[in-house]
Amino acid sequence: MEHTWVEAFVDFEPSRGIKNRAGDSWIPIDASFKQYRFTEGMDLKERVPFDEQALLNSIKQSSLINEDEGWVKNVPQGDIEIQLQQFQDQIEAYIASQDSDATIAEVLGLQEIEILPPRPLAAGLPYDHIVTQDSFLVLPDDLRHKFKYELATQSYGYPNVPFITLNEPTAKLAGKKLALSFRPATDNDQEIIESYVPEADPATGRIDLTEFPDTLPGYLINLVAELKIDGEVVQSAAAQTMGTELHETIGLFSPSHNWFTSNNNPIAGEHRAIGLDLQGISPIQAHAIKSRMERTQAILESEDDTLLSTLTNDDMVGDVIYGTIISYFALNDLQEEVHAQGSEMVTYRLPSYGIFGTTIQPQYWFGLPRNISFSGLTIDVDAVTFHSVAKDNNEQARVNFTKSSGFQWSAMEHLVPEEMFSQPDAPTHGVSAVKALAIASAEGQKIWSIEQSNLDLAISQIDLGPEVEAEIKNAVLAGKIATVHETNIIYHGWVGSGYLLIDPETGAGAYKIAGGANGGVIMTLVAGVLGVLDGLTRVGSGGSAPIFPGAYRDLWKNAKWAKFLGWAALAVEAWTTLGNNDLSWSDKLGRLAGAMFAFGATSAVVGLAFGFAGIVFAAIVGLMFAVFISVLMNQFYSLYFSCICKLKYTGRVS
Amino acid sequence: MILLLYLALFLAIASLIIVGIMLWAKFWPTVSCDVKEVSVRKTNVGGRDLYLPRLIYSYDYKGAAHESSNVFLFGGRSFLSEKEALEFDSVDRAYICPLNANWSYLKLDPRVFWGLLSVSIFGLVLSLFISFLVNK
Repeated sequence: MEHTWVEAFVDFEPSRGIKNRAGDSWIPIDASFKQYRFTEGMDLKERVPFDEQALLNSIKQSSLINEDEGWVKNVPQGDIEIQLQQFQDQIEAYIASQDSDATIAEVLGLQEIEILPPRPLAAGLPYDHIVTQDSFLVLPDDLRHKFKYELATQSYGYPNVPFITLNEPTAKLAGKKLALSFRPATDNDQEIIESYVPEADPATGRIDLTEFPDTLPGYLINLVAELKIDGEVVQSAAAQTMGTELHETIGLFSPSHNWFTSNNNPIAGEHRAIGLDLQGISPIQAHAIKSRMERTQAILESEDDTLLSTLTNDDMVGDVIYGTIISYFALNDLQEEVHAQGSEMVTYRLPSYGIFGTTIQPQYWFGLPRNISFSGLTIDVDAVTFHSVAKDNNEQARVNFTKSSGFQWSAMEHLVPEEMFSQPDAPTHGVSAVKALAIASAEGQKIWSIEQSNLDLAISQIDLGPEVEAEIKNAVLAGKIATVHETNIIYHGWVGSGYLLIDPETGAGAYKIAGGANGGVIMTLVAGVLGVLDGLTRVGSGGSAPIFPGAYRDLWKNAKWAKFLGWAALAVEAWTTLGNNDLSWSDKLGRLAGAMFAFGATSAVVGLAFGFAGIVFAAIVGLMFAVFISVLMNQFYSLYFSCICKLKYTGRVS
Repeated sequence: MILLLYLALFLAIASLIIVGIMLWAKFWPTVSCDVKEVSVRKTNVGGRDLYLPRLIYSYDYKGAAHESSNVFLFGGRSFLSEKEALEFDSVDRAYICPLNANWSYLKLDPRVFWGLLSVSIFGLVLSLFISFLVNK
């Protein structure tokens, strides 16, 4: 087994390091070599057995399962919850009967490091040393775990030169609070924002929160991006106007696996707390956050103007947001430890990161972010890694543990924010991938398990939008197993889907949600095709009878009938666009005008093409033009008549 | 966008297939034909009068008699005057499809050939562009 240790130049003779006056010897010290003390827990498996097979049989009896096609329907979630609750009650009763004050460690067993008192140093390593592979005076850069953060503007989806760049060893960032936030660039920008804050009631001195505007004019407000570590600004740069979509790259460097990076598109004006879980969340770090939040709460409740003036944006928003992502990691670490002990696994956290932050939804008008609204909070955990191995070295047990951990991490994405932000009279509703699947299942949707053998059938049966379906298809073709539901769910105003992409060999996977639909393409395409039909029927009419020769009369007749269907489809699409609450009225009118333009332009192109080379050429050119104009109009809508409807991954609360 | 990608690819491939059939059709057997009826149809596109020749002709192929009204294979150009449209009166040989003798034509319009070839190239370029947008 490989080990890394340091050699310290210490005063070894004669006290063996107890009295350190002047160094005389290089002594190897391996801090990673530890002895554990194990305490037996209660034997719950034997004392309170759980009949998994009975539960499985009950699920199979109540569910509609099609193994050939690869889907399941009507899973009795209520029955499962009841049985699990009964099992939980039995365990609690047993524990209470043994020791009502038992701790988790006493129930599940304890594994703790033996902290030894200071004693004279040993002259050598505490294990057999076979060979030294290499030694360094200073740890080389490529053997350090590193974290990087880059923020840039973007052109056509690609990042420009980053205006914020952080690249530091993780050891420097451990336990520190990282956040990206924005402040007004000038006093004028500050005044514009303040002009939208309602006046305080002269009698009570309080501001009615309901009077806050729903939107801000993003194009009038310039912002400066600030990257903060422990509340101190370490880098800042102008980031254009509020509502501008930016390009963010986050990554971790591991000496064994090189860089892992993920890209996101934050919006200028959002507050994003970056949580690093390097080797677990330390109690000191958690306690520091709790203390800061308690201090802020005390100041807010004191209503003392002097104290209140000392509070910063970071105190009031930053700590709560950061506390949520750190709580997420801390709770998952704890759950995973408990889970590992119960599953006879050994697991260690590897550097992981995630983001929790506010979400801004801009609406654009001719490229300018015009209306900026706050649309909720988003948790986005891009990297969760850990070492795990079964105590009996069973590979399948390790894969199963990884899979069930993934479910737990996904579920926490809605549970933690819900717990953090719910009020007794105003519950918060979060969505994660596993919750979206549960909601879809409760709605009676089929839950598909997609492998390469049933990929084509499953893709033809689900309707989750082309981007999600393409991602699922690519993942399955790459060897992953996808778990998806049939159609988008609606949950407290959120429309979207949840899906899992799991590697069957390792159990690792992506737990994703995707929400928001960029409408408009279908309407333009339908309008374009309608333009083709209109063009064909117009050029085909030669007085009372069609002018085409016999072979093409059918084309003309079918075009005539299809035209009516096309009008119906266009009406449906127009109605859907008008009912899309994510779009303002100007956006809706813009899209309808775009569809009308597509219709007229395609019809004219068909007329010209017919004059040039006849009916077949006109039909093909017309359809190709309809596709072309749909692509162009889609780009045009996304720039000028759209809200940003980006895919949201992992979790969302609103 | 994926739907648009498939549509663009489909149209590009369909155009290429038609171009291929037109290339093949140049080598179809020819037989003499009798033009039984000649007329010109008029239509109006965008305020402009266009004239389309309409011929009904008959021919014998492998001992069977056939009749057709296909002047061009896969359609053809229209004309700005009735006189131009009537020039097909002089055509006396028809190209017969060896697989289906009912399918015949009198002339290949190079505009259709080059036009569809251009459309297929444009469709492939458009498909690449859509793929770029999808993967962006």
